Amino acid sequence: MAALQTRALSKSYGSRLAVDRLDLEVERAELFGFLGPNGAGKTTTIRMALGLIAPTNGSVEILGLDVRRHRSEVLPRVGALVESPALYGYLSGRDNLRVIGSQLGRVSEKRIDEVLEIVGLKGRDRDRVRTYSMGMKQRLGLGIALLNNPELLILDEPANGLDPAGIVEMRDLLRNLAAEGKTVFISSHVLSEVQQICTRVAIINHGRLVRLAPVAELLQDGGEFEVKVDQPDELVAALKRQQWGGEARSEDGLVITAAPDGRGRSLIKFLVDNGFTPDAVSARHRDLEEIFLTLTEDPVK
Amino acid sequence: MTAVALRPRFFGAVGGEVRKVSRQLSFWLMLLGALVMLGVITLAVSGAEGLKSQLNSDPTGWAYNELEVFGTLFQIGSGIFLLIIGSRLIAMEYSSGTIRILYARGTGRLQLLLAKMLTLAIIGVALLAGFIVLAFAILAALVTSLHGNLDPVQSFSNAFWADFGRWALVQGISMGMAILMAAAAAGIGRSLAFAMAASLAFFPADNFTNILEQLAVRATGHQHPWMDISTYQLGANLNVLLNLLEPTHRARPAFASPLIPVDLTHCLVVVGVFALGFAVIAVARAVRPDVLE
Ligand SMILES: Nc1ncnc2c1ncn2[C@@H]1O[C@H](COP(=O)(O)OP(=O)(O)O)[C@@H](O)[C@H]1O
Ligand SMILES: [Mg+2]
Repeated sequence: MAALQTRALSKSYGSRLAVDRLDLEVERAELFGFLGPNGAGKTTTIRMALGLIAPTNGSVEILGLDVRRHRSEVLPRVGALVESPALYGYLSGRDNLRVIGSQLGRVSEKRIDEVLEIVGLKGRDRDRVRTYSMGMKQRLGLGIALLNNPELLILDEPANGLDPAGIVEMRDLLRNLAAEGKTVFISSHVLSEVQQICTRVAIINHGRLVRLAPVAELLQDGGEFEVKVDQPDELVAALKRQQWGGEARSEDGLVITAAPDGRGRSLIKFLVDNGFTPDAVSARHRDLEEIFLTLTEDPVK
Repeated sequence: MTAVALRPRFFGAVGGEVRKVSRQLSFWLMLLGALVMLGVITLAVSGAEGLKSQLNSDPTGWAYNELEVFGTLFQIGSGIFLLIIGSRLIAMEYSSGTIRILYARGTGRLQLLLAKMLTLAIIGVALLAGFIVLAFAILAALVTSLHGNLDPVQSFSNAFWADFGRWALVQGISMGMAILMAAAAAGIGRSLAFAMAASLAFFPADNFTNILEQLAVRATGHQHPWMDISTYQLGANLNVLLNLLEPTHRARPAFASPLIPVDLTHCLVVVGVFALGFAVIAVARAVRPDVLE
């Protein structure tokens, strides 16, 4: 049973389609990254998953149960942080945890102490939240999400407002939670934030799923080659006539191109057969950030 | 601890709401203000001329006078207090966005609204009880200082005590209306500023309309429809409710009343329709499926 599953999930605001037939399946105990540029539809998806807004179409299941039909059974097992943390500014950090805790049922002072410890707010818990920095608010928001010891954590851009040290802490914390068997679903518009901790990522753009794959697989595929030849312009023209070569281009005198069936030796054979004997052919190094950018640049691809 | 054991609980929610209110500085400041007002009124009352002679000659009449003075203070004060506390308690969840945390936990939309209204009702009842205890303590001290003992209290007529009960009932109804109105205003505006402004402006506007109607009658020379309108206003009807409930119709409305006399049934129907209207607005706005805050 999946921890989180969306089926053909769609949401339109008036005529604007914010989420478009999204199919996601997040396994249990997985650290799952949900990536997309600003406005891609991440928050909208998360709001639907949490029963905050009604889907125009499709459905969301959490821990095997339909969220809309079983919200009072399912949602108490989920911890969530949606957009910037919403807090009671006039209450202390501890009182914020208490009032949310009383909504949940019985949350002991002991658990509140534990949570304050986990998110590193122990010494500041008696201060009014109004006086907190953005990073502290974000951590208190995370503390609220953790309060009920949830099986699934849904975090919408949790790294926003954190300084680099805070981001590292957050990563460690999320890894620990996943190691405890919790499922962590984390959205971000910055790939590097999730690249290091997530096992799989879904990339969305304009509300549509562009790619859902293990991080390792993403890194491998889409591999392009750099070719050094004497006549780069002619080669680009020749490549563009190939079914697989549509993306061929020249950069700084080098030709950048995909290869037939993705393999370097096939590319070399093609070059030799067509009279472009290369001086050098090398696999082009691409990092995830670049893959992310190309994937989200062109939604129809 | 297991996560599965946790379910949104109604009375837990009420406890949380009580904590939210009790941590508000404005809550305590208003209570302090009420105490100051009570002190001022006490001083004014105890300095009134002929107080002692009236207590001795007509203890029940004396008691009615005090009920009128202290009762009016409570009526105004409790209304403003609950409108501010109520619209704040409900609207701040939208303003601060915390509504999404609460709903995302599986708290029912209606359940949250009811928990808040119940919290406000508890506060209202506590306020009334506290006020009655305090006012009686003050009056007991006053009677003792004027008469040397509490004997005059024995001679307050049964009718007075019955009317006092009716007064308390009317205060309960008024406070209930204030809570419902606060909930409706918070539901419509979904913002702290709007809810406060709307609910606080309602009764002054309601009373002011009464004056406009009287001016309109004078200006146009026609009684209709101006005077008819006044019989359907919430404030005016609430103001005459106690008088209509009393067998002797003794209580004098402190503020605007309907310009054409109304009977008890009419009054209760108008108040009931407003109550229903506020409740429908509050519920309809609370259960809207999309929470975009
Ligand atoms: N309440 C709303 N009304 C209308 N459009 C909205 C609303 N919320 C979001 N949108 C639109 O839906 C799209 C997706 O937004 P969002 O889910 O917030 O993206 P993300 O979280 O990925 O940045 C955007 O085009 C945004 O403008
Ligand atoms: Mg977002």
